[in-house]
Amino acid sequence: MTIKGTLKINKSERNRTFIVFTFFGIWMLIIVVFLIKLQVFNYEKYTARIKAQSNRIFKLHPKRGTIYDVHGEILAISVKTKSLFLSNKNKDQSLALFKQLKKKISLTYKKQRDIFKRIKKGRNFIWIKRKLSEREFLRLSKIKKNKDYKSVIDYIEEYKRVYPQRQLASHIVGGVGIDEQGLSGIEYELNSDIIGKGGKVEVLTDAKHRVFDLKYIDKPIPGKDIYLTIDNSVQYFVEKELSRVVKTQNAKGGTVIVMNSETGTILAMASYPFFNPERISKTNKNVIKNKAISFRYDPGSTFKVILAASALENDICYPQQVFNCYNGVYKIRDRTIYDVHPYAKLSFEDIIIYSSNIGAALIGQKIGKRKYYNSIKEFGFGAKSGIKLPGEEKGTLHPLKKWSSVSIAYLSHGYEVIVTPIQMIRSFNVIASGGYLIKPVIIDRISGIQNIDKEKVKIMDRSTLQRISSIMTDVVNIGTGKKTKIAGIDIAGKTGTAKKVKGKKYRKIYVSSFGGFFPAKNPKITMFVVIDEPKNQFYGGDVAAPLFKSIAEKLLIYLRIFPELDEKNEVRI
Amino acid sequence: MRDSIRFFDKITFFIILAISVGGVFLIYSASYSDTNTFFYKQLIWLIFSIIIFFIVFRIRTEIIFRYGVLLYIILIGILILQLVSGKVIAGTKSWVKFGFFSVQVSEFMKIALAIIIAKYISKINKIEWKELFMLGVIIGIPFVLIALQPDMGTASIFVSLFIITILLKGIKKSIVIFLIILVLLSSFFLWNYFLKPYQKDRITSFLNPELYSQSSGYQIIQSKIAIGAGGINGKGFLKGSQSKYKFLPTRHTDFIISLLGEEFGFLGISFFLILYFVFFYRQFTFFTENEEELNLVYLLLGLILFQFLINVLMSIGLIPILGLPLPFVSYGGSSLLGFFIIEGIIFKIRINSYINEF
Repeated sequence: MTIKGTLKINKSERNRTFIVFTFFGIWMLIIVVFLIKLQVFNYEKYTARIKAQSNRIFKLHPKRGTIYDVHGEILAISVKTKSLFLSNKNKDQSLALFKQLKKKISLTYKKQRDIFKRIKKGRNFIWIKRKLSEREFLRLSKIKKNKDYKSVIDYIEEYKRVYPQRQLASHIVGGVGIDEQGLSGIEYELNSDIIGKGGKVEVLTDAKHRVFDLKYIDKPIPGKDIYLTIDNSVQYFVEKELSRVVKTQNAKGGTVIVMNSETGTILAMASYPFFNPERISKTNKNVIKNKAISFRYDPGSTFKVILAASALENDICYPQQVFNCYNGVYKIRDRTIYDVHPYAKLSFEDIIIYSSNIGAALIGQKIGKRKYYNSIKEFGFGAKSGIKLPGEEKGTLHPLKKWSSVSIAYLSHGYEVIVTPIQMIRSFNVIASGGYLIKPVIIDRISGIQNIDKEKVKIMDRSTLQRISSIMTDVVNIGTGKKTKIAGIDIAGKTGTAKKVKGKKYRKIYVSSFGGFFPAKNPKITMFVVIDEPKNQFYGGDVAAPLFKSIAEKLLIYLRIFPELDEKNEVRI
Repeated sequence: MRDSIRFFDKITFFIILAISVGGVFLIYSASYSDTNTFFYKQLIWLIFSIIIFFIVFRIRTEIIFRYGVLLYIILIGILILQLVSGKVIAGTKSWVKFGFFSVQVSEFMKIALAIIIAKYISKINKIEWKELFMLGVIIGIPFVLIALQPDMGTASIFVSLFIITILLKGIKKSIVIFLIILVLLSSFFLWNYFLKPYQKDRITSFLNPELYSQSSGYQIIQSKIAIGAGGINGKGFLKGSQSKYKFLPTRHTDFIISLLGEEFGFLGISFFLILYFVFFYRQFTFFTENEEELNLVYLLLGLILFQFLINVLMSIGLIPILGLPLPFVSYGGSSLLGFFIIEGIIFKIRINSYINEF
């Protein structure tokens, strides 16, 4: 074997290698330049593209706080539910699948048509039904197990607001929308407390949209729990009695408020008709309105309590003072005021006890515009009570300069002024609480922290209170409120029967009301009852007073308020 | 025997080995999130290919040239049989099943073609009309058969054989003009009557991939994203999210360079490119007086060079997608085996250039 020689390259050989390497070199250069462009200059752009196609940020809904009554009974709570959605990849398959799905779940015809439209339009993500019921979820399990549909339909966990007591305290608790946003009541008023703080989660998905990792950016913070001052049991029998009376009287509606006399906290607040908060989206807006704080009406005779308080506090009258009551017809300028039962003469206290409109007008005229106006304002009229509930009305109290020469006569027996039930109970409670105007309280504590938002202003003297209180007790014992009387317990109260305005004229349709507190000498409970447009009877003493009584009886037992046993009142059980 | 060890091109051999082993690791990463069957299969194929390499290395070149035509005819026969009765695997009929493994005949057709072209052109002076016709028939028959499978990628690589032939032998100017007209005309007819819709999509989407980002442009966009997001240093072995989370298509075969780019960055790709450069440099620049052998070395290296360039250029989005694996790196037993056979022949010829065996 011999060696042929080292690498001898002739001219054409060199030429050929030169061509090959020029060709090769140019392409290599292009490749390197391009790689630098991709990997050095566009690095950030492509890194962002990776993020954009595999990282998705989802909002996490926090758990809404629970709403309890004062004893910890649940009024509203959020529970986990499944929501069904469809990933529309193939229109024909989706349509066929949806035809199966709609048999298993309840959907309105309109919703079904909507989903069909969305599938045909080629939308990718389509909600079939959010917040399935337990039964619907179970019925779907068979379809979900089908291999063909596995990646087509899926669930997302969502919270669903549940109201275990259904209609109970519906106007106070309120309701939420599909995205858990508060729509009315406490749910709306304290939404920012109840809602908690939403979290964010970064979901990493692969090319087939399968999730392979989750990163919490913000963990959701659950909302605060709310304890109301409402007592479920009281609320329950208040609602039961109220609906019974509204039905028997064939009335349009009605409201009852029960308040702790000393503290101004609300034990129950009901407005008929009630509604189921879980069906709030399908409920008429007028029904959702909390009439206890938004119902505007002329108070009628119940307002004479304010009149009497003003007269006595300003030392203008004394209880035994006698007034000429013009036998039931009193002309003032071009207007005439009537009494239901004509009286020739009545004492100051009898004017209240028998509810004489003419007498009231005379007392009003004696007090004078300015002093009476100031008293009305002091009792909280013409302004919101400040209770922590949405939609409160402030009523109407015209400023003095708008008062006509007859205004004082009408304001004396509760016209030319528009009030709400919450304003009325608050004013009655001034007498029950020993002279304090108290801001009504509905929230007991938020996440364990006691509600300290309390306002209390002394506006009346004790001696005045005792005199009015005893007059109001006589209203029940011997006056227009006799149907409220309960043996063994002194109840102080006042009836009211006011005509309603329809088409700018007062018609023969009425608002019957009764407000009061008991036991009269040591008030524990203040209550106000309003029945709107009763049709069988209409006097406050006939419609509202018996309702007050039936609720009071139950309250006495429930709150263990026992009859005051003195020698005069023998109790027969 | 002692001389065949002494003149054995150890540096080139280790470069090939380095590239191949690197490829095996990249395949491991590419299939990491699923199963590792690709990795094991490729490892077995690599060992098998190295054994075959040494067997080929022991075969005398005259034998290779003697049986070249026979091999060519046998392979044509198999290709025709395949077209008539072959099963469609992964959209083509290019696979032949041998017991438990499948082989892509077209990979070996390249070698047979290179052998007979090398032999044929050693007897001619220049490409004239007669020679053009002969070459057209020799290359044309397997080209059409493979294109019909359909496997346009492998078929198109045959064109490189013709280009290398021109480089080796020179060509008549009138033929060049004729060929240009032929290419223009045939591309017109190809586009209108022959190309399948997916092949057309590949070309149109190449021109503006972002318009087709969810369909035909998807692959090229995902490949560019992978390379671009690799940056200078790369994300690290097994950390490429484009591959791990399956955004990058055919990441173990056609787009393995994109995976390399994502996990090892610009530096990683550059290192590979340098290895290839040294590899080509060392093999293109040795001299042999035997013209048949010289032609064969150029034709075989031309095959590797074109396939390398096409694969890289397609991965970075500079040319339309032609489904061609990266030599020595991409997953695929036939492809790997084919390249090791090619290298076995080249290594043998290199030894021949140092040693007078007669």
